[in-house]
Amino acid sequence: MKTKTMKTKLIYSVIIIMMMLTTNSCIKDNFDFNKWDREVQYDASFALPAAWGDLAFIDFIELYDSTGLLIENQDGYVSLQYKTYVNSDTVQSIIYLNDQETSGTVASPVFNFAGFDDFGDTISYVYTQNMVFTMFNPEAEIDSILLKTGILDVATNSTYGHSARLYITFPTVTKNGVPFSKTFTYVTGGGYANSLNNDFSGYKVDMTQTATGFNEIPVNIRLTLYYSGSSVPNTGNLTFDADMKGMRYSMMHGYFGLNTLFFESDTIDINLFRNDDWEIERYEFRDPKFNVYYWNSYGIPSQFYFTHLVANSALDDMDYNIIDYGVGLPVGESNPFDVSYATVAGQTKLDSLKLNKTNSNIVDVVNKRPKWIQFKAKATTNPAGNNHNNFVTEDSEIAVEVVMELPLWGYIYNFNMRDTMEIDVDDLFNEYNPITRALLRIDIKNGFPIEIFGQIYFVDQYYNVLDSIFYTYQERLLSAAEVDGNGRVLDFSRKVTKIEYDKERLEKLRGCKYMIYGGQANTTGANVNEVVKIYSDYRIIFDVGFEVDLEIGGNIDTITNEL
Amino acid sequence: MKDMKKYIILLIFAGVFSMTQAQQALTLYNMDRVMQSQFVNPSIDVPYKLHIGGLLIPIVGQLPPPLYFNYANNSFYWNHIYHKKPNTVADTAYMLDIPLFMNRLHKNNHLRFDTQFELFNLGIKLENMFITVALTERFKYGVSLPYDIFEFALNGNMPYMLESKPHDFSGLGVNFTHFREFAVGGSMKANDDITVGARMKILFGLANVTTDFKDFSIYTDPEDYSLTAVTDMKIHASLPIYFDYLIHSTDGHLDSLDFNINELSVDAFMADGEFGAITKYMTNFKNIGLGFDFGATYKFNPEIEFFASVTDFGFISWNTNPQNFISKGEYDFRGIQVEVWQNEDDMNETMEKLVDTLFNTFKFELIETGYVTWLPSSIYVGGKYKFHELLHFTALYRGEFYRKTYMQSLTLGVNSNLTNFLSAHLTWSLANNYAGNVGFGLSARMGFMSWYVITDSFTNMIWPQKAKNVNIRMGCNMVFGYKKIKSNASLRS
Repeated sequence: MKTKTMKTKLIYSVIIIMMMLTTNSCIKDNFDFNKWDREVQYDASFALPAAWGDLAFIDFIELYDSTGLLIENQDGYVSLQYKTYVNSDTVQSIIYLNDQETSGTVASPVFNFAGFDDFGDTISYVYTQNMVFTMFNPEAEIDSILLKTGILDVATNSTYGHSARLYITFPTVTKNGVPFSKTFTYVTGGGYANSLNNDFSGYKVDMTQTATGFNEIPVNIRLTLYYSGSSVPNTGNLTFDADMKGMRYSMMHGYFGLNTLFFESDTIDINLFRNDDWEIERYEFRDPKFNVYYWNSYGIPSQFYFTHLVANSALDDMDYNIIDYGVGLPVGESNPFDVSYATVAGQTKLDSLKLNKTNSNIVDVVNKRPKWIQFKAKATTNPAGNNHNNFVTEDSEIAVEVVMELPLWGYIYNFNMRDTMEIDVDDLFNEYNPITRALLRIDIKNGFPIEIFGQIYFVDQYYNVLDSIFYTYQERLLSAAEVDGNGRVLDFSRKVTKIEYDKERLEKLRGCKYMIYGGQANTTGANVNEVVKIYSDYRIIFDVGFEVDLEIGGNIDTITNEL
Repeated sequence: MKDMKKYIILLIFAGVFSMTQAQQALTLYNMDRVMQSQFVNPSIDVPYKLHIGGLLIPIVGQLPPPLYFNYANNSFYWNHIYHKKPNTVADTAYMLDIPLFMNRLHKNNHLRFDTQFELFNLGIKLENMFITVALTERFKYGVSLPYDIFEFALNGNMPYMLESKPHDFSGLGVNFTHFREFAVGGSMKANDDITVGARMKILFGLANVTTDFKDFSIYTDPEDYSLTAVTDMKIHASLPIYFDYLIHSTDGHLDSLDFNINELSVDAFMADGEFGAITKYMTNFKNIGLGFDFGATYKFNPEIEFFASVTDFGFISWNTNPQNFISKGEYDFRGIQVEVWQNEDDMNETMEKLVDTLFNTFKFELIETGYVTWLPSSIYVGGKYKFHELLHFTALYRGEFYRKTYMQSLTLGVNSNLTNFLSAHLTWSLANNYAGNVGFGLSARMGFMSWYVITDSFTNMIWPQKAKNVNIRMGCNMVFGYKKIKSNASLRS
């Protein structure tokens, strides 16, 4: 009985369970997304790195190396330099070859016609005349010319009745040792004979073989008459005209006389003082330098002097002369500088003149905040007089480079700048902007002896201040590294700056139209005039990261449409 | 001498590895009238002299087809994500509840699936021994998701950064294995009190994709927000086709990366048409594995029994188109490196350098050698109290090692062989970190046909939205020579 009851109970239990298996209680709804209220809520916070860098000053030097703005100077630290470069006029415009001309007549009285009475008889007249060259400079005494180009035209006319032959030879105009000569033939009764466009390229003209010894070449003339009959009178003349034109030299030797070369530079813009975007309250450059470099490929002793060397001050817009303290800055004709010159063709001599704090007023000039420097100059050749060792080639030139060097040794106090930028902040106030908080973290390890302060103001259309990014007047963004007694940095200094905005603070920016940003920089100890040096191995290491809190809540369809 | 022989035979069976599936069978474990209980309890005493079953057996094998399906999730169920709002009757009364979902997650969250088709089974009782032979098609697949992935995506990286904790994604994984097992097992009475059993299985692997992440983490430095990523990852694949993976680089600069299915392998696989491809796939014997399990039952007294078994200690060696993609590296990302750029080309070069560095650090190397996968092992320990001839109470503890996670369950059951033809079993399980699993097993015999249907959590079928575990096993065996097992229960009929 007990077993039967037990059995029955168990069987009923099984049946009930089986029935429950077929029961479906609201299963469908749990999987029916049509019943979803479509509300979502997402809150997340992320911290991510944005950028980092380990920049050495040498990298910037290499970047600006081609422009020469930053260099590592001979003392091992860095200089700012500004320069300008000017060439002299081309040599061919100063020392040039004019067209030359010579002519002559051989008249019959010079002949001795005795015995000239039978066919086959010939009589000749030979003489030499000098062809005088007019030079670029009346004082010039040219010994030789190697012609790069040139043309010779010879025109002749014979009125002799007898047939004749004219030989014209330039014995000192040679190419590969062979003199230049031309022969003209005349028939009985005379006539014209010309030879035009004779190419003189590559000929060497020796002008030392006349009695003068320069600027002249001999021209040998030989006229031969051939007996042409008894009816032919023994009278007549022969004229010739030789023109050398279009001559350009490859090289010329001699004495070129006193010639003047003019130089006028563009202004050297000193952008550090010229830019209107910033100002410097106080500064000192301990060792500014003014260097003048000459490149001379003329084989001519020359003197160089400035006629005009001034700096224009950003303080009062006046010009200030750069003068030396007796070392010999060539300013003015009375104080020229003897420029080194080439002694061999193709050679270029480099010379320089350096002004610094000990031999000039360059420090005072730099302290006047020069916006630009400009110079005009002259060079004159053969100041010592006649010297037949002058030479020029077709490429000879004098070039001058003027460099204003500001070694970064000194201090700068209150380098400040300020600017305004128009901004649009409307997107920040989008109802579905998911960002509820944002924080920018800037971590800088500074190996430069420079500190920087900054501030940003957000203003409305009437320039009323709505908010500032930092709550201090100006936030120190960069701490200056400590320096030793020689101005060299000892160690990095570290500064971590955090800029945080949440929705409450962001609300202040509603209506913002402009952003006024400004900054100020000082070198270490500039307030007490402490000097520092900037070396190329100085580095700055920074890490920039940000934190952002995201919150998205509401109807997913609305959010999707808005985003 | 007889005992010695028994022990030797036992050792032979125990000494030969056999592979048993790490299947969840909490209700099946004590269903002695269902031959398939031997799959998890090798020492169970089955009351038939002969049974035959499987898909290949006409009629019996198809009505219903002998299949097993299991879904298990050790952390959350559907209502933890999407559920009705409290005190709301509106049409749109359901909500997404991410905080609740996050609260339910564990360090590693496993979504596992197990599907089996029994092709053939045979059991024969010989005097004191019961021998079984079975051929089964098995599919194991699943995905593992570490808590930190959800934490990173839904809460960001700041909370962990403030605790100086890395996000550990090494629990991420994918697993798919298809294999066929041929099992031979047996159980025997060692003496009046002890019954022992063992199964040896030969495994034929057919397809596998599995991941092995020893390390995969991202650490955010609270000082500078830099991200340190570390990987030590392997992805293994053994499939009928294989992939082309070609890296073209010049001096460390990545030019291009090709990852495609190798067309030649597809052509070779499909050379004999679709049917030929299926045949080729199903008759692949290159990936051999072995496994074993063993169990024992001890009769403490006539009413009380203790039992224990260890299953699924085994492996498969994969040799068909084996491809191992290995990535190992560490990189500290501090953001875009700012340099002194002269022009846009310099900037682009910096970006390319970053991409090249990331690629060279984390790129996957391909090694085409065979590899071995181990199947998760399980331990069962339990006891039975025979309260009544028709009512037995059981308790069963199961522990399973699965992908660096040790999962446990406790099952209390009520078992009843109601009649010679009908047995019913009811279980309650605390499994997959959920206490709402009410299981049900039923076996019914009509003549020589014995049907069975078993689930460890029928309540989850009624309320799937609260299901962390859904499983069902069904089938039909032909059974002969039923002999009722005497029960020494406290209460007798």
